[in-house]
Amino acid sequence: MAPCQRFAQDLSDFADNELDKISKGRLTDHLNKCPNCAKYLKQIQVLRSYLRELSPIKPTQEFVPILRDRMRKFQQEKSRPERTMFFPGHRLVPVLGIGALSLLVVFLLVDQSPKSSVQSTRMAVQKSQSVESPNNALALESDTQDQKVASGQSGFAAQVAESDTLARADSTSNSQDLDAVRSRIRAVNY
Amino acid sequence: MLDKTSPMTDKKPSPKSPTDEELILYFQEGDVYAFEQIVHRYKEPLVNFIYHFLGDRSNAEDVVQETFIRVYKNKHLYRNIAKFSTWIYTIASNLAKTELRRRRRRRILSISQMGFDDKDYDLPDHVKTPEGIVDGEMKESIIREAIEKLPAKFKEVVILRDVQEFSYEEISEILDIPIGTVKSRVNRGRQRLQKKLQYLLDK
Repeated sequence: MAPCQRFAQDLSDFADNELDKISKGRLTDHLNKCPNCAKYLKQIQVLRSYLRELSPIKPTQEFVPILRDRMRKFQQEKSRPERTMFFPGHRLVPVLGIGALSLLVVFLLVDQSPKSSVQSTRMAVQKSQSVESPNNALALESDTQDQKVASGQSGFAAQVAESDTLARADSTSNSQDLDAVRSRIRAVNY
Repeated sequence: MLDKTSPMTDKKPSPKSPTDEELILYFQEGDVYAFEQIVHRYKEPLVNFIYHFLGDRSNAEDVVQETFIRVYKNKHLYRNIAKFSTWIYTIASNLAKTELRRRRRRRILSISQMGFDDKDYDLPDHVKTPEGIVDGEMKESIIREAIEKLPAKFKEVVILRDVQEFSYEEISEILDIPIGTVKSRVNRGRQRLQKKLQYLLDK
């Protein structure tokens, strides 16, 4: 059973004693004529009394101890940052990390630049040496081979002499020495 | 802890016990016993309010605990322009609504995870014939169930108005809605309850 739509709100406000005088008068007139709304009002009043009389739900006995415990934990958490004020490690971690990384990068750059120059000079020296000595050796080798072909000699003594002269030629780099070695070979061959 | 008298009460001699607003002021000044008195005063009404709202005692206690923790943490946020009860009920009702939303999400998730073959089942209804209703506990449980099934926006105003007996102005402040809206929601909530509980209300 629903109340007349026009008076539904007034009926609720009336039950709460929140209706102004004029509205109250108008509603009373209506209630005298409408048993449906009168019944509805009575039901609302009974409902309200039931709701008011609902037995209270009491919190369990653990409620306060648990709350105390939570408050204690909160206090402990709150006091923690004050202790770290002396050594705010958690704040320094990113700063220290970035610092260490940049130091590492700088160190690597500084370390690599002289290394490369040393290496390049070393390589240049080796290159020049390898360019110089093989040429000499090759020239020497070709000379001795020419001499062998010309003389038609191919004995063990000649080979020993040849290797000996080659070894010597390796250690000498100037052309005067080379000439002296060549003349010696010729002397041995003849 | 709650039986101890607040040492701060000596500062302000008053024949009556301090008001809620005085207690929170003392607590803001550092008196922990004042907070304990607040807990003593509000734990039961808040548990009742949230219990009706959520329909679950254990969850209700959790929410009320969280309410007190929020008050404890944010004591400095309370300004003496509003009633303390309004402030603490606002915190509690907001937390209860959050809990309801979380539950709804969980329910949606569990439904979406249900396969096509899963069949829903109905819980057996309470005996709803007037003859079957024994006065007392049975009647209470039926009323509580009817309240719990109300949509949240009607439920909160009906509990605050008819169970906790707050004024329309206070409810308006707690829920941050206009008084007209409060009145209209109370009316609609009551209409729904009246429809559901008609057989109990015909005396």
